[in-house]
Amino acid sequence: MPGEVGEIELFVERDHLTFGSETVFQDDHPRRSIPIKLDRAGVRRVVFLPGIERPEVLNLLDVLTTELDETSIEDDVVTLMWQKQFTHVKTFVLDELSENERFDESKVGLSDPGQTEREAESAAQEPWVASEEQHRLDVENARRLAEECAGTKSKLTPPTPEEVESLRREVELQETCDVSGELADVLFDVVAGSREDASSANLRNVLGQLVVMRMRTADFAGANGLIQQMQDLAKKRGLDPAQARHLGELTGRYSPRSTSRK
Amino acid sequence: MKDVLIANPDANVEELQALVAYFPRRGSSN
Repeated sequence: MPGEVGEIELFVERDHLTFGSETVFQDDHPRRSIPIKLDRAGVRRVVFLPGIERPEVLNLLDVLTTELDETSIEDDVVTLMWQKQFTHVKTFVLDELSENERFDESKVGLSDPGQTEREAESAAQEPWVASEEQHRLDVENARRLAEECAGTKSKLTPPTPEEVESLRREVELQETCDVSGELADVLFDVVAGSREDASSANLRNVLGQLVVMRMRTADFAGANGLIQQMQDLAKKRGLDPAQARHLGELTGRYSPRSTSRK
Repeated sequence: MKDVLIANPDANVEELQALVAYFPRRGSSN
């Protein structure tokens, strides 16, 4: 009996339940299978606590054998289990909002009884930490990309649209204002040394957007400085005429102009 | 007018250009 052996911890692995390293139950029937039902509901682990009595086990079986309406949002195993208010059965549910496999301990109100490898991994991938870290990496990558391009002018690898988009996104973000100066510098280097194609046109557009970003942050002198640099670049000897034309068009579009006034 | 437009995130490019024309030295150049 569970009460005699202490806590029993079962892991849900798609169509089977495991206890330790052993499969203790398997059923691959798509509608009837208890493991599949749990798996679909995001349940990753079921723990039976010491002291569990027959009525609670029967209640649990009742829930697990209920035919579920798959289209219903409310009618799922987790909800039904929650409604039963089990006191000796704890479920560990995958956080639906997170793509990482992370147990949502808040849903079960139980401190973690045994740190498994999977959980340790998950803990290392807390989403909010990852996104901040990811952001830092994105900025770093954007800078490295631009630096690499600037350093190898003779055989430039045209940036992919994704990379250009990444750069564009970065310069639009307020917190990257401090690197926008450097970014502008390397962008100028890249633009000046690249062949005319769709990617280099995109990079020039990013320069134009940097101008607007500076305007929006009320760095008018900075915006003017960028426009001046773009104009200088457009006049550079040996620059592809199409690039010069585009630069001229951009500076014309963003140059300060007086509105009609008396 | 300046502060109103600066505070307005929806200011269009034309409005911004007008501001730059009025206050070309505002802000710090990088």
